[in-house]
Amino acid sequence: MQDATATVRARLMTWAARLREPFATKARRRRMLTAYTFMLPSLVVLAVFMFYPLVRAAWLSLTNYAFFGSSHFIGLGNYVQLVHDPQFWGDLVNTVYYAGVTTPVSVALALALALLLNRQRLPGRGILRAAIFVPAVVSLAVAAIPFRLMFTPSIGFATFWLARLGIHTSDWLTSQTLAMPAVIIVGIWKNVGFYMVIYIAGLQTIPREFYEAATIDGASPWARFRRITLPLLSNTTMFVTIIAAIASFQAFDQIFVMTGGGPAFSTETLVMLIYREGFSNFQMGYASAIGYVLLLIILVLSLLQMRFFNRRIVRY
Amino acid sequence: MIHRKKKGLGAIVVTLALGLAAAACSSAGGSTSGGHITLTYWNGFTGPDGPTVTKLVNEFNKTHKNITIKMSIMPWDVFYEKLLPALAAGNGPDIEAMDTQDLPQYAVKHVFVPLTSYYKSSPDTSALAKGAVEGTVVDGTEYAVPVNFAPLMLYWNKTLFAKAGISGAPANWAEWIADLKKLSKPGSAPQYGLAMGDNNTIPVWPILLWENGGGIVNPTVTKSMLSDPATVAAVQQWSTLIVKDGITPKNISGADADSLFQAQKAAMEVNGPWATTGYAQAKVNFGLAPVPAGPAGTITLADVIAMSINAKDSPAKIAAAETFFNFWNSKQTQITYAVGTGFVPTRTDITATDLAANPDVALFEAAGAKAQPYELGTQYTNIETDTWEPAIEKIEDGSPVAATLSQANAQVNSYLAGG
Repeated sequence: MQDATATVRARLMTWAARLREPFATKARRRRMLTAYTFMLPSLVVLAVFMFYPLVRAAWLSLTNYAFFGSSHFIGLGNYVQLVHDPQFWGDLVNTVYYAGVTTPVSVALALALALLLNRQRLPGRGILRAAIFVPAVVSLAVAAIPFRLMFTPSIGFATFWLARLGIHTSDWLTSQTLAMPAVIIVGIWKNVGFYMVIYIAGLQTIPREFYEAATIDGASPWARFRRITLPLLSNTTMFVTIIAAIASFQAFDQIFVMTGGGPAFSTETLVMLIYREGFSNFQMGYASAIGYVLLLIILVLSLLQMRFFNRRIVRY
Repeated sequence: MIHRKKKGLGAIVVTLALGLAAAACSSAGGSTSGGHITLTYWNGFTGPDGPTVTKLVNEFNKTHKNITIKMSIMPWDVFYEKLLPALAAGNGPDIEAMDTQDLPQYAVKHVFVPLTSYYKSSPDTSALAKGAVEGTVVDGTEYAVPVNFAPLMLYWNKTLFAKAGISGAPANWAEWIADLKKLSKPGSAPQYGLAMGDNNTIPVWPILLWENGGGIVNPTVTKSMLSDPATVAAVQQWSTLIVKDGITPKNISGADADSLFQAQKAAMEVNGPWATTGYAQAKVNFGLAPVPAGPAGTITLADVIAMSINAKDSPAKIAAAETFFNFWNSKQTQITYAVGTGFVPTRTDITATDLAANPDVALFEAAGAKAQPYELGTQYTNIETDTWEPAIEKIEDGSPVAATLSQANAQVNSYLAGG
């Protein structure tokens, strides 16, 4: 028992010593001051636009704040209401559906495109990369407007050209089954370029000698992919999958513009529910609670993903 | 060395502080300076009625030297998105015009000035249409003054009717349904008999329910009528027409419906007076007829926009706003407004001769006699947007009518009971 306390104490003291280190001498203190001064603008922005809202939302989620009038502390009342709200569970299912399709498809497609566009001799490689990357810098809400027109039965490309191929879809955005695939397509379109660029960077860190050695040993392209490319990309894959999952759980922009969460809430995700509860139904306290539950879900998911990938990271 | 660095640091901090302070200084709604009062007025009159409203506000500013109204016109969805945060932050406009359907939700939050004393003391309010004033009452108190009173009528495309060999607008449901079937042509470039939006629109579905003896809620807004046999029958009949006969596209917004009629891809539309100028400019050869009579008679919907005063305004500003209200509802202003926009005047003492310059107004006024507002009290968003519209979307997507309506019925009753 005494040993344990001693070890803890020793660890705490080492930790404290490490914290004091940068401030130990006058010169070091001056350097730290300069460093913090440079960081100050970013810290202020982060504090005002990230930390303060986080803390305030946490407080709001424990009240029944509804924009006007008085608000009262209601403890975990909003969270209890959330558990019993069928709308919340339905939207959670929608969100999982959206993320469950968007994440693997985006990541796989990004890897495929990266492999394709990493070849040295491909003509127009630069233009193709730029073209696929452009959606990442375009505002999703704005881009969703032409997509909405494309999926509108009466004037849209989607229905017209699919009909030419013999596939008859009269309604995308008004069908409870096809509306979600429509917004998923837009979600994938938006981010695949960004993930592709990250994958290209990852591919370029793999030494060419490995491939040469493998080819000499008679490995097929598929074997080279499976045994060299994929394992050495494991770090990149972990990063891309985690950010893809986080982004897909926060889906809002194109859904708001294209379907407004409809038809009949079939495309409503959790972020849309937060918006609706907060700004249409004025229930800011409840919306904050939903926001925090979403934060928790994404946090747990990301931790699980990191554990999954950390076990599989390969370094040759 | 250290001194200089400290000064540099100090300069940075001061600049940052000033910057933040400048950014935080929000421009307040309006201002009062030395007797002159400026009032900000937000509304959504982006349609063809906008220029007339602007003209009248300018006239007010010219004739009232110590009051200036600064009007901001924005699309209605932007208006509703901006209004709430602005009011919550205390930066709301002094006067805002909104649909009386949405008014109760804001009124119960005490963001608007109660106008009971204004109504009692003002000379013009007794001449205002009862239906228009009814819409402004929440819990027995008036919270707004009508800006316009707009009954819906049937717009019909005379060219498309002639092509289909139909001589005139339908007078009852039997004729209407027959005409709709004749005018709806499916295919890759479809033509629709009707352009009817079911979301983000002035509601048209309630008319179809009322004319069959049904409704969404009862007149006192205490009980749902969605499971009433008359309601279910009407929904069954019209949703079958939409799904099987393709009389109108499914789940379109009000704006989409307007575009369809304007592009002459739909032969009929139930719409209000604001659309007349736009369609005329688009050279649509349209006629106006009362909504065809259903089994329970002719009943149409009246949309009322009303303006309210921000509860945070000073007594001087409130008085100035009330002066503007008196101007707006005065006989001369209402005549100019009605003639310029086609809207029915809010006053009942204006004769047909006064309105001779715009014959459409007389038509809408006649329709106004059979019009009732679509009021859902404080539960408008919960009932209309969150229950009724999704129910219709499900039904048009194939869900069974009776079961879906029964679910919606329970939902609406729970909102009305406890909200």
